[in-house]
Amino acid sequence: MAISSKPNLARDLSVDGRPQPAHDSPRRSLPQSIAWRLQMWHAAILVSVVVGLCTAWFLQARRARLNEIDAELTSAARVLDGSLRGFDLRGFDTTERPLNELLAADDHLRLSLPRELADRRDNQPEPYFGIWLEDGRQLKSERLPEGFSLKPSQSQPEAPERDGPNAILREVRIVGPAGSLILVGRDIGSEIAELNRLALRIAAFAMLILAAGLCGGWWLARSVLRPIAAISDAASRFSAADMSPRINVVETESELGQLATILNDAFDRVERSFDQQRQFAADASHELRTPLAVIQSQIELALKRERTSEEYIKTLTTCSSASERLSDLVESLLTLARLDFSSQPTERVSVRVDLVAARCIDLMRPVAQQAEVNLRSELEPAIVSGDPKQIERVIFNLLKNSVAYNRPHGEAVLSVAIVDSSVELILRDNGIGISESDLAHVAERFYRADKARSRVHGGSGLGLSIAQGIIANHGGTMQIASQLDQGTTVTVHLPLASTLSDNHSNDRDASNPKGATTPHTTPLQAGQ
Amino acid sequence: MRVLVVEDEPGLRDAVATSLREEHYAVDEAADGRTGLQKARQWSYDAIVLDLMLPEIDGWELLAQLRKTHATPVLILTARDTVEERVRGLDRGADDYLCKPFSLSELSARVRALIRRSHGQAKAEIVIGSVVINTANRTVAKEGHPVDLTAREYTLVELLALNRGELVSRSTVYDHVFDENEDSLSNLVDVHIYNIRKKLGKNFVTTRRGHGYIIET
Repeated sequence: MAISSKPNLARDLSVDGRPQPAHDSPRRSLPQSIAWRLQMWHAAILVSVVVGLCTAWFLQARRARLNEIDAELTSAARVLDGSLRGFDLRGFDTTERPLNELLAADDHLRLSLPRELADRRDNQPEPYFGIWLEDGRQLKSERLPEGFSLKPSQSQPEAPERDGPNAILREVRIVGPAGSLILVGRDIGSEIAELNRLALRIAAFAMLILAAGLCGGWWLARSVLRPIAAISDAASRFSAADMSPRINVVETESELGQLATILNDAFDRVERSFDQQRQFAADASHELRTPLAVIQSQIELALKRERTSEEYIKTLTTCSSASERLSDLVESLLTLARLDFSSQPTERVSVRVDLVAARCIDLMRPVAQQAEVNLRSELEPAIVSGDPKQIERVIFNLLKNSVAYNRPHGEAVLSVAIVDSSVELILRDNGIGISESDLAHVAERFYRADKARSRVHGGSGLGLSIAQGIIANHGGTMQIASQLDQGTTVTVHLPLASTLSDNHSNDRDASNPKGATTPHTTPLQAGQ
Repeated sequence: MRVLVVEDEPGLRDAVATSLREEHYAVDEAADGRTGLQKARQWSYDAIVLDLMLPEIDGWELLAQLRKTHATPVLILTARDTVEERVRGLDRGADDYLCKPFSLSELSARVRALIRRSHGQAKAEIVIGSVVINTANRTVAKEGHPVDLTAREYTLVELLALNRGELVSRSTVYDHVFDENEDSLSNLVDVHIYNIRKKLGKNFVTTRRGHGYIIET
């Protein structure tokens, strides 16, 4: 069972503790609203598609109808043309032969429209036709509209339509034998009216489609954007004062559902980090108030009446140790605050971890001897880049724990070695160990597995948090493995600084007066 | 009056206990929750000063356990000062609340008030015939003239006055007037009662042979 060092959440999410005013989303003017823009685009596309399609439909229908009429008229004209070919038209065009001669011949030629054309349904007007010779003389005509003139034919020989006095006429003209001109036409008023009715029907249909499409589009846009409104609502209500708002995620698979889940997770993280901060502030104030209460009550008691000098000495001794505890605590809190503030060590020089460890062992030895704990060390030269004071603090804090949570005749072994191009610092003790339930929390601020014991040792419950913060700042990791009544092993890995041979550059920026960075190549065996 | 101080911080426990002793309370001390609960169940204290953050079992648990059987007035002493904490403390059966750091004089005033109220006495002054007992500054006056009582005598008078009309047994007197470190097997109580009668009048306290003492109303 082991826990690994992880960066503090509070550092990842820089959240200040001040309650922020509920953030009102700015009132969106209509053209800026996404729903509105979506709807506009949707409407524009829908309108152009529907109008285009309906226009094409109408034009297609119209052309088909007119083609039908034209085919009908053309076939009539071809019948006339065929009939006309039975004539010998030579000479007529030069006015050598009178027209009457030709007309007389018509009796058996029967220049007239075919049956099927003439036999039209009642409501359809009968087509008219006319045949002109090349010189412009009319050979024959039937039912030509009043005021008919051939005139437009010159400019547009196939002019299909012309406006009659009270009708719309469609004509087909073909060139017959000997330059004659055959014209067949009829009133297409009823067809045009029918086409107009079709146009109206198409327009009504288009309107229906448009209305349905626009309503559907609006509904779609609204229903797509409703989750966004819910998201922005929750986000704007979320504040330091009230961290309960969460987005109600309905569709977890959709993009907005995923966004909502992501945001909810972010809210959770912020809340957790806030809770941690709040807990930390509460714990810190508790820890600060206790020694303050000791000092205040001891002084008040002493001042109540005249005391003996022994009593004064006792009061002052108690106050002194309480104030010592206070200043330790303030120092630890400041260190933590600094660690939270920057993710890099403030100072970066080459640090001989083995020498720092040796010094810590020497400092700790009197305490260890008093506690009857045997301190041993196995140190190999190893250099990391960082703040020597902070690294000393890490090792000292870890050693303090190893001695404090040990038992008489126990031992603590500190080793420093280079393993896989990183500096490995292992502190192994056979002390009282940490229970599984406590192990998950030992690195939390102010967490103490056994308060009574740590009070005796004067621990603040911040030592491991600080060690962990410093190690994380130096880009390292810390693992704690422990078994109750068996002992605890703390393993710290720190990145190895540029190799031992790189001493010159190290010496230049190493301005450490304690000489912790002095290159020392002989393996050092500190302690017994 | 006998008070239990449950506090794990030695400097603070010492200051509170000494201060209360100087105000002539019989004071017992406990450094952890388990001992505190044990003592609180064993003796009928007039008040308990209870820290919340305690080793072994914490103050909340102690209070919950104690409230199953005892109605002893409890003053919570803690460094947690949020409104939620105070509300929680009071709702769970605490009678008063004081945040660290605090003034010893406020603490003893609150303890006095707690003891007074637990005996249904709202005012600091108790008047019995011509005798006026001021529980705030621990003085007794008879017919307007101050009467000089020793601390023990005063405590005994206050105990009997707060329970006036009720018989106070000898063992109750021992429980409330002497702390656990005193030898209560002597016949000190009879000596004190004799002195009180001499100073406040023959009929101020009635002795019921074999039962105890009573101040008749």
